[in-house]
Amino acid sequence: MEQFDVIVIGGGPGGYVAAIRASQLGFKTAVIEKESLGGTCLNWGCVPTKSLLRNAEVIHLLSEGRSFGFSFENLSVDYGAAHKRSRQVVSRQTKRIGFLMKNNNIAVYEGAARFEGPKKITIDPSGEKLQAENIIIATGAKSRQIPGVDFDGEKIITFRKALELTEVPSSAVIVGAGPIGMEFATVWNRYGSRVTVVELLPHALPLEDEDICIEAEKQFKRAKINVKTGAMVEAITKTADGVEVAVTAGDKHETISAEKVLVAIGFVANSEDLGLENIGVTTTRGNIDIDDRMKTSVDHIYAIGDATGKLGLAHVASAQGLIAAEAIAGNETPILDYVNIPRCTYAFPEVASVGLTEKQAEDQGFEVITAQSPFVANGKALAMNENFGFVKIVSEAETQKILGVHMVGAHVTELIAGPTGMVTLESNAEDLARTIHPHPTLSEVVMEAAFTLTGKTLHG
Amino acid sequence: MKELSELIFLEDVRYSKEHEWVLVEGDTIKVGISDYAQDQLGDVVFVELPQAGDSFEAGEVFGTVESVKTLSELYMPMGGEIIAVNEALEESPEFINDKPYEDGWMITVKPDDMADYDSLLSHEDYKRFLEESQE
Repeated sequence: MEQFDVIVIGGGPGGYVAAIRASQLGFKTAVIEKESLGGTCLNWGCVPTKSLLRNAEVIHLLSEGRSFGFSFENLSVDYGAAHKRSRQVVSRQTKRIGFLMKNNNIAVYEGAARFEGPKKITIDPSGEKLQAENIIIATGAKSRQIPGVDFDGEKIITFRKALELTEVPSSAVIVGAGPIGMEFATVWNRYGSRVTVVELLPHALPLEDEDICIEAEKQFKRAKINVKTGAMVEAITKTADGVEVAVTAGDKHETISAEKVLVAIGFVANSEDLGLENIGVTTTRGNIDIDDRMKTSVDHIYAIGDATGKLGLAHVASAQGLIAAEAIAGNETPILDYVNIPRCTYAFPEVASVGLTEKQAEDQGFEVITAQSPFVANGKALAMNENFGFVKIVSEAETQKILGVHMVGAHVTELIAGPTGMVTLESNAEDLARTIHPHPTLSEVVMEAAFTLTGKTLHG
Repeated sequence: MKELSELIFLEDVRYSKEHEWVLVEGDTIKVGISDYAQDQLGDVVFVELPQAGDSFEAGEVFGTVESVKTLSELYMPMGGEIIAVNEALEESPEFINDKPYEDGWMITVKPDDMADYDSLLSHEDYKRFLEESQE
């Protein structure tokens, strides 16, 4: 039986990063992956969706073409080609990760892992058995189901199937107006689909600051994406050529007919089928319990990523993976502050945020002041013809310490890393106002918001 | 990475200083990159190649090759029209690393002037060129 210092179960952004660090620290390392290296993120999530969204962005630019001087007789768009390019992007990256594993001397096993004992793993279906001193569980998560509604992979689908489609549905109901739901809504809408999004909570992108939600909803409406908030799906019935979705909003009932339903209401940890109960690894509502060093209830077993349910983002999984590997080596590890990790939505409009929303800050007892600066006055945004949206800073009144930065507008996902640095360093608005931002950039609006917060608004 | 002495220098082709090789096949030529080039690049992840019918001058960029380490441009060793492109490289870019002179071929070209072949480097001259650039 092969022996390893570290076995990582799952080769996604958590697993493969943990494995590389473990190998760098001198551990004999193996990764067990049951599908494709890169995991959900690379193969069926983050990466292919960004490729499709780029296509959607180009369609948007071309259709606004008149003021730019472009005109078309009949602009033809081929979603099949967009899909093909997205799969090509994925394949380039999975190959790259394969080489990373090889060049770091990490053994890769294909199959699903199961604990036979606390240090013994069996791989299905090959039946191969491995032994490890330390194990890192990085098994990710799967789509949450609407109770009573089965995914049939055809009319009722999840994000995974949505990324396999070579044609956009003529009409669709998307259940869940979170980042995933709104990203698919954006792509399908640009390719001509009639999209209705149904969201239980009072706002689209419900976890964002309320001011951001309101602006985003305005833009969704302009793009003719129908978003129903405060609405619940009562039943989904399959018909000959599609589905009928019964929706209740307050005391209003309606039935929406569409070709397909995409269910995007969140994720559930992949913690069953591992045999965790047999070895004493505890879970809470399916999420594997971990401490600040990613250690589970069993000393030599660690867990990272979506399987822990802390914050289901790829960069979180990677950060956790690095900590787990360093912890195994007995090194000092930083404590992850899950609040000050940036969250991005790549729909149209883009949304990005880090830290606390205004309401969260108030609920936590802070005396809160906020300031906003719009993109409308920004030269770069005007030049790009995309000057909607704004940056909002949430700050503690007395010290003006930055508690949260929230943005909605063009390319804001690329702007959030700067403010993330500031909240990590516990900076205040004055620090941000003193940080010279280049002109002309969209990022200047972040600095302008800081000016406004310190009472010295410049361009507004 | 391989030592110069470990590299393969095919003898019946000529080389450009940009590390492409050229094999004459009747009135067309076949082009790829040398063993030295693939070794320097590392594992190839993706190749972007032109379409049949495209025309390029000598020295013009006709495509790019993406490896784990870097993105490199591919230069026409001789000017001409693209006749065929190795479609297999889309699925199997690793052919460039494993068999740079065989399955890793990239394009076939109808050259503007076959006489340009003679101004390319013989395998000995190419080897010497590499030795000199390493000093």
